Amino acid sequence: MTNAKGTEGWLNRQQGFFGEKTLGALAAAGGISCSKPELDLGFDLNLEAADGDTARLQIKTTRSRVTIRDQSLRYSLEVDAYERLRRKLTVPSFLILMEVRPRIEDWVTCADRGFTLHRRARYVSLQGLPASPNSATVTVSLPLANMVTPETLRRMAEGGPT
Amino acid sequence: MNSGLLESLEIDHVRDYLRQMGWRADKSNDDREIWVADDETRVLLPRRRLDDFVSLAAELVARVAANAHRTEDDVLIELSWPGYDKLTARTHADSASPAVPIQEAIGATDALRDLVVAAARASESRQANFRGGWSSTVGRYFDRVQMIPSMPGSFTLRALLPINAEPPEQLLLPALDTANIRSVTRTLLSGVRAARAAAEARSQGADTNVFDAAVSEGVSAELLDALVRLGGPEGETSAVELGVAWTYSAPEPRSEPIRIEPGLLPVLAEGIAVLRASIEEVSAVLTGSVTRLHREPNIGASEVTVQGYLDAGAGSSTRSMKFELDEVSYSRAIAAHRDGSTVRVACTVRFDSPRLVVVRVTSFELGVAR
Repeated sequence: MTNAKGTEGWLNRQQGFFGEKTLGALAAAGGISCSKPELDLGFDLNLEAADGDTARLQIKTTRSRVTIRDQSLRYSLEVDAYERLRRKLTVPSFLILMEVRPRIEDWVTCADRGFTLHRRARYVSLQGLPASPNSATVTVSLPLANMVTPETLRRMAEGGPT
Repeated sequence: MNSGLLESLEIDHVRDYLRQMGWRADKSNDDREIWVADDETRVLLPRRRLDDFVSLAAELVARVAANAHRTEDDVLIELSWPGYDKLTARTHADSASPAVPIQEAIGATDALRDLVVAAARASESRQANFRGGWSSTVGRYFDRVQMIPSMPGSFTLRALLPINAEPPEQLLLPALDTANIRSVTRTLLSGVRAARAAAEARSQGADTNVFDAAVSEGVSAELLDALVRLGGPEGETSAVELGVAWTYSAPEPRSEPIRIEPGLLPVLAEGIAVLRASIEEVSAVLTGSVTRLHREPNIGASEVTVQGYLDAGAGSSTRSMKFELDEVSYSRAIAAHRDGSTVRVACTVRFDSPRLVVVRVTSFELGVAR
């Protein structure tokens, strides 16, 4: 029963679900649509701009403290995800790393003046990077400057930033 | 969606399809094109076969299907075979259930095959009935006919009929002159329409000559026989509905489905006898399996039903035939039924209203057990 409520598996699933929905909200605020891909190629979400251009997103969420070095978040990405993200595709693809608070009760604050989602996210494009000799994980860098916002999501769908 | 079909989609075909369906190219770069429908729905067509081709093709098909209020499978099939019209044969047209007994399903598939062959032969030369084997032209055509899965929620046989002799990739899309193509499909439709009209006229008192007069439209004994068999086994017949959807690469005004009510099937069967009048009885060999044994306890006639391949002078087909046997042969039939052995039945058959019947059995031999 690894997915029973309150277990680590359940919490992981909830944080992934919350991460996708948060991005959906940001995308909506950016004037673009956000959906699950028609075929599962390992990506979590599609972004689509009003003019029909699209981007693929791979989303990772973590409750752990993430190391910062050289103004970048350092994250250990599974090799298969790295290989998927570094391939040349028709549409751009991005890795998004979302940090959430350790306790689920702290993810959202609701107040009279509005909701607050307590998480932050950075993005990076790995397309075109060389293959990795590693067998389990590859450490990737997500610049702190690459903050995920409604505007950056819109630009991703429109073919940039990379 | 079938990822194998998605992977093999030709980008040029998809582009032609979108254009034919009224989509317009909005913008493009080296990697992709964006197409827009009248309602501002947009699809992304990849221009290169990179690793996300299948995924993007799936999204395109899903969106085009939703836009056209069609199923994704339907659109994918159309995109995959631009050089083929789609023939649908709906048996049990009034049945609420999409399920049919397996023997009936096999029989219906065989009947559809024979309907296509009869149309292909009639498109070559109009004849009341066809003796001997097929021409190489008919054979080549038949080799390219494809069966595709039934539609969800119904037992509908679907076949893809090539629209001309050239492979699809050689079609001059989209500037195809539709006047000189799909002769088999046209013959099939005109033959089935003429068959129904002849049966209706006959049931209202017209002379049997109505069937002879319909030969010029593509009607033959084989076409009528196939239609009768599509209606199901004797005593359990149902309406048959045939329709053709033209491929997008050679569009024409929509062809209305042709429905044949079960009450017309015996009249069509009479037409078979009329068109085969010159060959009332022929020798035949039926090779197949004993599917039923019929005998009252200790008395009465001993009858068997054999489902198999009938090779007769006037043609060959897969059939289920019921006939009487003597005591010795009936014992063999029991053994064959028990062991699943193949039987070989030499017999004389007559094309008699309403069906092909076995007049006498010359020999009944056991074959190999399965």
